[in-house]
Amino acid sequence: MTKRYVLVHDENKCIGCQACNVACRSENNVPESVTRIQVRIEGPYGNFPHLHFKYNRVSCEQCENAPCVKVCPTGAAYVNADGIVSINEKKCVGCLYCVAACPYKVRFINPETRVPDKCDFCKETRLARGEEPACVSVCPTQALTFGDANDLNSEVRKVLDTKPHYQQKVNLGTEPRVYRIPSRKGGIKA
Amino acid sequence: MNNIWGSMEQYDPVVWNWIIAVYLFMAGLSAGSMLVAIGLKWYKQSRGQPTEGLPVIKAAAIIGPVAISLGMALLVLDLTKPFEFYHILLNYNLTSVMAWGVIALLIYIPLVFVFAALVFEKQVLQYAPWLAGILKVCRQVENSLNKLIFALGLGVGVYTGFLLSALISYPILNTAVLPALFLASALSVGSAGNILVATLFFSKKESDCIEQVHRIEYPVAFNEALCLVLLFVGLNFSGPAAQAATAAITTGTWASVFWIGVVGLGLVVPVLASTLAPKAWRHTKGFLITVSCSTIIGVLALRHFVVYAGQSYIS
Amino acid sequence: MKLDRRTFIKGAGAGTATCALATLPGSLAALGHSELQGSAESVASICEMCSTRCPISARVVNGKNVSILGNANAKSFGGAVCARGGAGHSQLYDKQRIVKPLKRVGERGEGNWQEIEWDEAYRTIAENLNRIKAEHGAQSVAFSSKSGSLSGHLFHLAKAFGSPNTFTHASTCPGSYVIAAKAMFGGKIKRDLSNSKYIINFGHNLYEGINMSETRGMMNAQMEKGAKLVVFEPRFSIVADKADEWYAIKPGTDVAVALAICHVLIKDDLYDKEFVAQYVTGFDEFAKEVNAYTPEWAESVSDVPAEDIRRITHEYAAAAPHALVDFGHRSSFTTEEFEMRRALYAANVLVGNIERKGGLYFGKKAASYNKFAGDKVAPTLAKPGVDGMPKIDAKRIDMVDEQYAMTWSSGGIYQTILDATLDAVPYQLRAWVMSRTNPMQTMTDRARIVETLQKLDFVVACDIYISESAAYADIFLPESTYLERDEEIADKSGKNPAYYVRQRVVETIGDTKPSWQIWKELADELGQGQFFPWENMETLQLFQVQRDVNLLRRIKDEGFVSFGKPLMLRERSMVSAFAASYPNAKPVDEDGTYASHLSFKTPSGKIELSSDKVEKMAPGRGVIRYREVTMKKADELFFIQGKVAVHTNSATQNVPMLANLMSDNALWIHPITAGLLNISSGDKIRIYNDTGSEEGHALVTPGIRPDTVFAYMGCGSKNKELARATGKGVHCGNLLPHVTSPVTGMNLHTTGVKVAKI
Repeated sequence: MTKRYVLVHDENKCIGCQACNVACRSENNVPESVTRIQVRIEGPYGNFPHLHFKYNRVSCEQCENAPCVKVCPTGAAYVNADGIVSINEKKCVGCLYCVAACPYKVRFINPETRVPDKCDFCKETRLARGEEPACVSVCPTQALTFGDANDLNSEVRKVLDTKPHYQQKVNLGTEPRVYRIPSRKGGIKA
Repeated sequence: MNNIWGSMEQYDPVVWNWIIAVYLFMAGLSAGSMLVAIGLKWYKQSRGQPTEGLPVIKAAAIIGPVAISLGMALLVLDLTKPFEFYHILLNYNLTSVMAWGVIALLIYIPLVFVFAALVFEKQVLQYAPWLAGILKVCRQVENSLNKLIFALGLGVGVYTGFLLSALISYPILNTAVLPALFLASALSVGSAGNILVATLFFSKKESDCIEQVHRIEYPVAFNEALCLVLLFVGLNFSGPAAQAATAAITTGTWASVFWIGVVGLGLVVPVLASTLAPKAWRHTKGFLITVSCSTIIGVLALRHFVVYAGQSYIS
Repeated sequence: MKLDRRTFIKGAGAGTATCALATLPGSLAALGHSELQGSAESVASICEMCSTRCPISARVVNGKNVSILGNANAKSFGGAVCARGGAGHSQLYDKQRIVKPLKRVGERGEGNWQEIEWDEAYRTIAENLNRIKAEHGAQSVAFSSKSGSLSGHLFHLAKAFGSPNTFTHASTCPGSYVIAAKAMFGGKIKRDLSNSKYIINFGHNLYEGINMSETRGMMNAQMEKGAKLVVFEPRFSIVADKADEWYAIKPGTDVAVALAICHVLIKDDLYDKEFVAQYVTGFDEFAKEVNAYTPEWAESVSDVPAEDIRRITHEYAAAAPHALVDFGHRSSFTTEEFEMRRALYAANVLVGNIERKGGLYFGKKAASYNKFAGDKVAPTLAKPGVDGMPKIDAKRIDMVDEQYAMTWSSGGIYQTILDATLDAVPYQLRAWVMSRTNPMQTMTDRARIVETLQKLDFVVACDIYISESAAYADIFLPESTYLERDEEIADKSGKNPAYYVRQRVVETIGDTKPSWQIWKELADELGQGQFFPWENMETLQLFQVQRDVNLLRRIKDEGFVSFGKPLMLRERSMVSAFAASYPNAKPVDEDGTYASHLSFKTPSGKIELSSDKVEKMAPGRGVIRYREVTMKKADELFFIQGKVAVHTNSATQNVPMLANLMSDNALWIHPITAGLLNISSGDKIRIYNDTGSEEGHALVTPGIRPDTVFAYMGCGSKNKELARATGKGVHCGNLLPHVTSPVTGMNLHTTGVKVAKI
């Protein structure tokens, strides 16, 4: 059975501390001026004193039905067998079509390679060594769960089966593989 | 909350800039001028009138190849890896609108040059007599070639629209009206371009073919206006994100560009000019130049408006 | 016009790099950048990006990067590091880092520097210090340092030199909870957040000022075990967001709510009478005093509704003893810090949560743990003592008032350096040797600090960057970062003994040295080399483990080694598991615990809810009492600060990776207040009071009381050497008046300001 890597971000446990942002940068040598992930602390929403923040992880959603892959003229953007949306740097001409097509705006041009870059679940670095993505390992409050959703015994499968979750912009039919457990305060804002 | 997550510059939804807008304009101009010229040719032929040396066809033979070449040059320069653009000619992902565009342009561009060479056969053979054989063959299949160019011209015209409408998260762009709008505006800028070049360089006297071209401007403008109305009315009924995007024509710099450039210069001025202007003016050079320039600027504004305002509103 | 994508691509990477002072003498940029050399295999070490010092595991990646994660051997830290910790390598090879000794060549603070060799630096320092010592006595030199191995070596030098005046940053940050614990329990106490079922938090910002094991523990308790969290804080912080209930308490009035909680516990008969009878002294005086502190009274003081205080207290008591009131960390909220922290402890003592799961407990270091086990379960470390250290007769400069007696061994009252220098109180200070400390940011009244540094005869700063304070040094000594240093084994005992150690991950970059070596070499130059008999850090480590090479290797390999099993003396399950493991363990009490062995290092041997000792030191303060304090003028807004998750309060603002995340602190202001002042988010504003004036920008947010404004600390540096931080944001220290709190000696960090749009 093929793998289906997914990530679950628990907005209750996330404290927006950017440990993931920094760890990703170090692990994947992301240039200073760009980032593969940031957690935005949005708000506060609600009425005083019943306020709440929203912890919005912004990184590649690893869509099943990825608009970036669909629009890429050369096939440089592709979905790997493990479900990770990947980039073949050699085929890329840098037309920015994928960057424009991404509904989540998480693709950017790497100033060093001049090719689109984004989160790849640390495929080339940590997954290759049998480790979890840097953001998952480093998270101080264990807000992230990563794994193969096709493995019915995996932790990530259990989390998805037992906790309410949502994905962003499902109306676009992208079917993101990043799931979010909504904060118990306030409503879901997808 | 303070921003503690770093720069958000890379998340700017406006990815494509004026270079793409100008490219889309150039592609539309080239395709539009070819469609108008070939259409005129067929119209004349159907009436048994001569088509040789018509100023409008000469103009199209200049605009068609020059505009598409400039457009392609801009497009290649805008790539982050311009020297590796050949990969786009070697690899085709057929779910991509751009890949289809590449195929269409790969055939369209040489054919437009052939079209031009046939129009200016004498001049070409003066400089490159060795082309005589090829041109002779081309001349024999000229009718089929024209049909093919016409079809490809339609393709290129709608392609520029589909290129943008495939961007599913931008409500203004992700609509079926956009290709139609771009085709309509391609026809209008094509005719205006043809009139402008014909008037400036090829028309020795008032020519009825200019008048004929001029006559299609009215329905084309109507279609363009209709597309714009459909676009924004459609947005208004397509959920909150799309509804929010209608602000593009009410607030900000791009609203001014829309009302002054797209609607004012692109539609109102040409239509009013051809309906209200005194007959005596209508065939003067100055009038023709002014009106066609107004249309051209209007269409250029439309491409910029669609590219920038379109990307500014994301669902 | 906004940058479009193309110019963005072209300009990428230029952002912060180009504004660097490429010519700053002694910087990595000036001296050239060499390839990183270090271990590609993970090395266990200890973080130093903040003062929490989490266990880490680091390795060099492809010779150009250091990947830093938490050390998975430290279970409660879970292999995690925060953003600060993860950015350690960004500081390591920052081009603006200073890697060569410098001497000042223009006026002090002017920013003109010249590179010198270490020899010259030591010689200059020794000449000046010895001259000052000869003319005015050794006590006229003050020494201050970041605590840990660093302060250990510098303060040893101070002692050898003959000065009693050694200071840490305690009185500007965490001092008062330590002092209050000393007064009540006889020493520091810890909190078992991870097992707590009910946590009452008075602005202890654990989700931004991350203390990895506590932060994780509290989140785990909240999310996996259903603990309830109640937060009293004037600002809607991340901790407030994660709370089940948040009350926007009036700044500085926490003590009133804490006392009202005690009032309800006693009045409604919710307290643990047996515990109080067995372990507590001074209860009656305390009960008499809190009789007046009703929730209704507390509401009138703090704006927290009385019915909520009452209900929360009942919920808390119902969850006790597996419940706690967090006594906080940074404790410079009010001049009544001593009463506040004691009142918070009292609310714990009353429910008898001491040495219970989810309550408070004492660290179980090897010596005491082994005694309970009747066996050498955990090795004890030897402490190197040096014979013949000079006797120091001079009094510390903060020894003017007996009420501060408990601070003298806990870092002292840092800000008295200013009084001693400027006003010769109690005597004239002439020189200041500071190491890895930045009082210009964390101490109050910046102008006065500048004056002090201008007036001193001689100033030495040892640091990684030319901090705002180091900018006024005569001699600057570049320290190696923690990733280049070896240090002594440190005690990290919690419920059971544990040790960990800092080890170098990369070869030293540039001409820097570790603290222990700097102060040892300076001692040689000062003529006090005999007091530093160790050859190097390895010698010291071997001494600590008493030449047990295997133990040393194990600690170094694993990085974090814990011994035995967790023990809380009054927790039956833990005690029975403990007794079952060790055949020679102390016999268990009848109730299955070690409760009878619980004692306190106070004069009475009990928890002193009211204390004669304190009454003698500070008359009127023996019993915890509420005193009204005025921290701002009527027409001013309260000004409070806090820590952000990506910076420390004074040391990380120039670290490239962290500066890129946040380099500016907005002033949080409530929409109603902002409306009255005609201020919108992003507006440029002036914040001013009698102490100073700052420019910044506004963040209009409902997450702050209308009578209060807030800013994250550490921004707005004013020296040109910190190119990424200088001039960005509000400099908090420049707005805080010089006030010292009774008993704890704490610097006050709450004041009043006015805000105006500019």
